[in-house]
Amino acid sequence: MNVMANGPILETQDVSFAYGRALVLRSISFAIQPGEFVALMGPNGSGKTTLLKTLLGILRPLKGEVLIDGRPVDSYAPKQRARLIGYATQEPAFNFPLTVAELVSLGRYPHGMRLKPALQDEAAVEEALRLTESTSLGDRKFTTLSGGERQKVLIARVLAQTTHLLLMDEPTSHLDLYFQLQVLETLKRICREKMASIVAVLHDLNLVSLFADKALLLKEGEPVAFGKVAEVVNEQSIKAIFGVDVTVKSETGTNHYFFQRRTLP
Amino acid sequence: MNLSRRRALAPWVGLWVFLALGCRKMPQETARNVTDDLGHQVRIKRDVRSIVSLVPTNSELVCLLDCGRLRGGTRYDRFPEELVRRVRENKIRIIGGGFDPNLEMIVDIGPDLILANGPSQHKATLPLRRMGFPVFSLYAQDIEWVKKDFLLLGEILDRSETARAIVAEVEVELEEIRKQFGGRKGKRVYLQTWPDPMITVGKNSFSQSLLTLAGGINVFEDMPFDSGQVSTEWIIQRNPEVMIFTDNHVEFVKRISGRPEWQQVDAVKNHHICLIHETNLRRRIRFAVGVKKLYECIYGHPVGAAAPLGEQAGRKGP
Amino acid sequence: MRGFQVKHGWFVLFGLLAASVCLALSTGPVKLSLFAMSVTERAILFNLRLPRLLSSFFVGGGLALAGAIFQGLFRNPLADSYVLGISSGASLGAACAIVLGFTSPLAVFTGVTFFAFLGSLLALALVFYFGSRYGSISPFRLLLAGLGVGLFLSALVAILMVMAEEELKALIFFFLGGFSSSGWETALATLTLIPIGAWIAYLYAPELNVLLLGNDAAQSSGVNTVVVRALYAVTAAFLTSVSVSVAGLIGFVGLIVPHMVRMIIGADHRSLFPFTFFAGGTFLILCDTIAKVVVAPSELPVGVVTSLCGVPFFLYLLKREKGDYGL
Repeated sequence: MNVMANGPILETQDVSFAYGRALVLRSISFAIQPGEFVALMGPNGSGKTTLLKTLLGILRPLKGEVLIDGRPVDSYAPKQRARLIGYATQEPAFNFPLTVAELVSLGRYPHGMRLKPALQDEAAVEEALRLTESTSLGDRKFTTLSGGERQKVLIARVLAQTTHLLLMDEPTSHLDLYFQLQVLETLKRICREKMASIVAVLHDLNLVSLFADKALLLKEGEPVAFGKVAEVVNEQSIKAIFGVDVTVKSETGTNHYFFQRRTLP
Repeated sequence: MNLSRRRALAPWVGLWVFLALGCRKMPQETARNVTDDLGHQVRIKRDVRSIVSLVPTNSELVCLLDCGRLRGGTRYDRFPEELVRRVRENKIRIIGGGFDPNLEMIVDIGPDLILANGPSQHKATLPLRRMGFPVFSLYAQDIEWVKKDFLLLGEILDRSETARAIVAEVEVELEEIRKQFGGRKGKRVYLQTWPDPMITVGKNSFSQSLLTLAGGINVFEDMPFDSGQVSTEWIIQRNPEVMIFTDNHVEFVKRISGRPEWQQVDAVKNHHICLIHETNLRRRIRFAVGVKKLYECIYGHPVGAAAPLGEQAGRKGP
Repeated sequence: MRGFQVKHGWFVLFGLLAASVCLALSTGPVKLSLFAMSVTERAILFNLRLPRLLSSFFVGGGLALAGAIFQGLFRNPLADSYVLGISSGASLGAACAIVLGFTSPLAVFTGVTFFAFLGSLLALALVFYFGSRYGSISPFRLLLAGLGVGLFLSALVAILMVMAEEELKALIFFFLGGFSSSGWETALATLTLIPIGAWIAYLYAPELNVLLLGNDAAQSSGVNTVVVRALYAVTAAFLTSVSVSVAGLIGFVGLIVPHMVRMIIGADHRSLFPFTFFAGGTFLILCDTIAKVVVAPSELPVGVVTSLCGVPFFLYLLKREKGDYGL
């Protein structure tokens, strides 16, 4: 459970995955160090969610290995693994009137919370709510929240899990500009202060540039590039993956991306 | 077992003891074991004063022997007449139907004997048996068995003479019919007990036994159920010589007499259709009455009367 | 706020339960005098009314709990044993057992209940199979599958009834649902078997809570979703089959009660389950009492009473604005 002083927290070695016969991920190899914020980018259907699930260990790769803290991910007992890796999915079809507080405390499950919450559980939940600025929503029923509020609460649940590795599938969806920045800043801070690592699926190039340390670009399940954002997310790679023309202006090491309308004058 | 657990168990044990000892309705009078039709040994008092019956056939049997002792019957009990009268005079309580007897009412009557029918009634009376009430199943499968049951009941109620007398009467009536019937080949009969859907009687059913005794051959004697649904086509194909309907068939008869497809049936061609009261098929020990009515219908004249020239058939039965 | 509601809720519930118990024990064709009861009256009270009360309580609790479990398992507010066809499966199993001859009173513990359990598992498997596509189960597909499976299995029971002798014909009344012939045998079966299922359900309530997040999120939290789902499905089927083998088909208890409880207690299964159990028991005691009284001296089948209450509620749920349930 303790992060190794040296060595990547997450490493994949030549990971491939297939649903039945269709190969969805091909030969993905990369490594993430503690404290790194990695953006996972690619067009729809390029296998990003599948990759996250494979990293999580709930999908077994056809080939290759996923190593967490140096050990294969499936060598961990489920709850042990859950204390290491947190996963924020895209919002599920959620039908039940759990309160926000109840939902966020579900994140404490891997830590053994059974019938009555322990002090550290309550602390973690409060902290998670505070970090996502959702404390005031505590007693509201989840199903009465707006899309953005729900998103924050779902993120809070993962934060309450207090893991060293967070895998987040489109954490900024449904969020307005303020909360997009707020959430990403929170995540970045967690990386810095707690030496946690984050792999997040993000679409906004500028936000990626502002917050992520590295980026992994996927196209049709194949890794196109992996490395520092400023180096790897450039005009060629964007054109290659998204088929979009972008102009990059660099400023003190941070890229800024400018688009134009594609077909209209 | 530690003390607290023992304490927790104590009320349950107490309850069990209470149930085991309490509420037994069997005082230490003279009683004896009798085996019922389902093979159960039932302990019955020698002096049975009050009886509850759970099925019309048993109500009939009891009432013929000593109606005064019948205290509870079903809502479907129809005879003998004395029974109907006593129900009206509130001397007999209706405890419900065969499938849904009201257990509390039966307990309230406090019978010395409960007469049940088949296995499902046996199951439904479990709480009563637990409380100590003797439940005796009479579940005759054929006519000889009915007679046997009746004599057994007569013994239980200390009315053997009456029972034997009635059985003898029935035998005499049957003999009359047999003599009249002679060695003739039976007539093919279709017996329908319900118009919509059309329901007839099958193999081993009581009604078929009556029909056979009356000199008829059930055109559906191969049907493996006691009663079952049939279609017009089958009836036409089997071409009965006689068709017998129970009450509430008036509309039905009117309907089919006009229909072309029915015209090819012998019974319709020769107007050999009778309507009889359903009660004729339902009598248990006095079934000879029913047999006679069937005979009258099939052969066109009452038992014992001389056969008129040709076959005379009536449109309406009694 | 929630805490207050919860405590308040339990208080009210136990009050209702006590009142229902008194009402149930004092209704019936025979008037019982409170003091100086005759031997007959005592017999009626202890051998008929008391076991009937216990049976209806535990069956009500079991069915309500099974409904709550199915709703959590499938994340579908319209699920319960009856709607999903599980009850029909159990009744088919029970009918088969009777045809094969398991009619002894102990059979409540062995033959009939066991076969009913097998029948309910069969129904469960069929509903899962037809209701899912690519591993996921949409709410409507599930309900349609349940409807189809339920109707089909009921039809099989009907065939058995047509072909069988007197035993099964009697079961027409049984399958309408009722406690009119219940005695200590049935009471014992319910009060030993049903708490087993209830206890299992309660033990794994935290896992079921996490399952509400979705399969992936639950797995990522370390929950063995396959095992938990299977365990709960089997437990709910077990609760259903014990209830059906004892009291026939009683619908809508598992639908109405968990919903009403959720409105007071919330969706956290750790408190939902116990509350639902007691509320379901109380509800069925009341329904049984109504069944005894309304058409006296005859009795309505309890299933009819629960349906009369349940169907309007079911329709109301369908009709209401997209609120808690997103339908």
